[in-house]
Amino acid sequence: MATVGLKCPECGSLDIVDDEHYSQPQLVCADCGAVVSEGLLTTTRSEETQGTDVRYSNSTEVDKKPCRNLINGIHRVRALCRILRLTFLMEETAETHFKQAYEHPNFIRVSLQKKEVLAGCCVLATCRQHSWPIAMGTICCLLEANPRLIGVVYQEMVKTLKIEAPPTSIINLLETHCQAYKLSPQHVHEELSESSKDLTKRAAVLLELAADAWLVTGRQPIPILTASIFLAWQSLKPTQTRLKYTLARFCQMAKVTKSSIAPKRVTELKEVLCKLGQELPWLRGDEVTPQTVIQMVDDILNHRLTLLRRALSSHEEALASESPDTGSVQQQGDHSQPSVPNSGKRSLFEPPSVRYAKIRRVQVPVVEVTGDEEISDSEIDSYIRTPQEIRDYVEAKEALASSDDEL
Amino acid sequence: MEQNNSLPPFQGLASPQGAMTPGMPIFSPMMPYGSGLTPQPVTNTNSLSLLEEQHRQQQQHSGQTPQLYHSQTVTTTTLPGNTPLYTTTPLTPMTPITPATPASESSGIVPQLQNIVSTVNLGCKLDLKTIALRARNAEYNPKRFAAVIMRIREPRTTALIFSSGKMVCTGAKSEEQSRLAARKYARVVQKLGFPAKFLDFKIQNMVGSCDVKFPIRLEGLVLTHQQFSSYEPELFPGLIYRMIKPRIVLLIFVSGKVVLTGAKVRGEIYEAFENIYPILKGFRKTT
Repeated sequence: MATVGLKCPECGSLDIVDDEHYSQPQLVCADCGAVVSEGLLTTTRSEETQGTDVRYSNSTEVDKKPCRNLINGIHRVRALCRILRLTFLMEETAETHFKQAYEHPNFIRVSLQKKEVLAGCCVLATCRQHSWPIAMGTICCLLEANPRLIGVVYQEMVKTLKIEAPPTSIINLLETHCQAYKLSPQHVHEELSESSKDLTKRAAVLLELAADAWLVTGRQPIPILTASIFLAWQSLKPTQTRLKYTLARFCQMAKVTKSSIAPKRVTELKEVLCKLGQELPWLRGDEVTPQTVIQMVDDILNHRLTLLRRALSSHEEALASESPDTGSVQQQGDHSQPSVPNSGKRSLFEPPSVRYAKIRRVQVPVVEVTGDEEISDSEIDSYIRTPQEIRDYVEAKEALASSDDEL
Repeated sequence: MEQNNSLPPFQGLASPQGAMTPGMPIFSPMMPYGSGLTPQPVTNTNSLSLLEEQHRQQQQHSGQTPQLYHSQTVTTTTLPGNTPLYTTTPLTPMTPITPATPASESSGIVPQLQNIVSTVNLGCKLDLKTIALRARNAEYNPKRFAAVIMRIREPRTTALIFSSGKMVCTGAKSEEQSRLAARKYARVVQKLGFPAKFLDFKIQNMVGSCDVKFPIRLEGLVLTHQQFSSYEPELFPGLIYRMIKPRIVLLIFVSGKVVLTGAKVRGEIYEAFENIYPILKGFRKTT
């Protein structure tokens, strides 16, 4: 029975059924076959989309198309891979990561900016997985995005996809970084040119020395790379021409961006070299200054282990001779720092953050409190305005508001 | 960004700091991908620490100063990538929840609590405008933040008071101080005319810090404890160590200073530090 109460006009039967004549729905009497009523032959578009049982988007008629942002993102990933000249396998991996991350609930609703950055982060993760040395700064420049945002998105992505992406070690970054310096004979004057291979080799030794001397841990890698390459270049051929070059000029010549931090690293590295250079036996105790040390870098690096040993022993001797003196001074009472000095201070090299420790604010002595003490009324009253103060405050605010209105 | 391989490399690309994308030829054998250049967990070739070892041994055994042209028993570095830069110890095969602690004595260092964050429910709706008007130590800027910021002098703390009656108290140096401070804020609100109560006081977070007094090789630590650590010098100078038991996050810096956060009770901070101290000692490099 299709509908209750419908009677066939021909035979009076109550047996009306729903029948369709091809696509046209009809109500037909089951006894005599008379058509009681019929529906429309065609449907409107709104009926098609809204009147069906199965949703249009779920039906097989609709081809599941990836959203536009996903397509753009994949293009971006591919473009980045091609700029960086990654292998085909790495490109595929990066794309897979991106698709997985994009469709994950953590990322499907983030801002467009983050989705753009996500592409770069996938490329970065892929490079790390395949031990391809690349700095986060590179991705930053390619995407022209905030490094902090990249950091945030990268860490979230790694956590979401649960991928193991070991960070690149700085020595691997060095070779990549070195190749960016345009110092071949076709780019610069012959006297200033240097082959990439020699430069890398010398810079690697300098970098290892810097790492031993705590100049690398915890700091941005790129300035220290720039500094080691600069000193390597100067020391490979320490002519007056090269020595006159400042770091800024060197970067300009090699067509590399200069950084404000690299000069500080150069100074620090020169200090380390001076400490070692001091131990060279043929100097016979002459002072080694940062200006004169460059000529000696060759010798210093060739014999650095011996020099380190000697420097350590002379440092220990110096400390041993110092300590009986300091012991007596301290008995007299001094206003030195209340904290015990870091044992790193007593060794030859210590991290700069230890050597130049910030002067701490005087610690307020912790008062022992139970948490359930009585709270005095006077103390609480001191935090509450008097009625006069409130009136003054309201008046002042009104005066300010009216003067603003006049303006 | 529709680029294809026929474009000459890197032209038009700004080369600001960090853009060291190399002009290396594709598929050249010199290209640094693949194996051989990742630091392998091998034995100690860190020149400084090795020297110190030898030095110490010599001092112990002979007491003579080392000869000038002592035959060098250590390998010198040649090209990058062939020798690892930092000492690493072999990775443990299993994934421990707690880092393995040898049965040694305790460190003798006690982390100091620096900050306690607690919440309490005052149990009544509050009119923030009235509070801001009638209290001396309050600031209220509804366009910036929907809460009154109130401060008291003793204990030196700050509170965020919301119109729902909930309050967050920060800046105390101990649990008891935090409780006392929260009570004082509640009393101020009471005096301002609201029927404030003191319900569900709870410590939400505790932050502690200490100094192990020796420098730490963060690169080594991130290699051996990869599953717990995250060290990105380009983003942050410290290593972020997420301990699972107890559930504490530690920020470890090269100077030896350690910040511990995420604790709900004091004991978690102490426990976390006792867990991390032997690990850090393993990365100590000075005599």
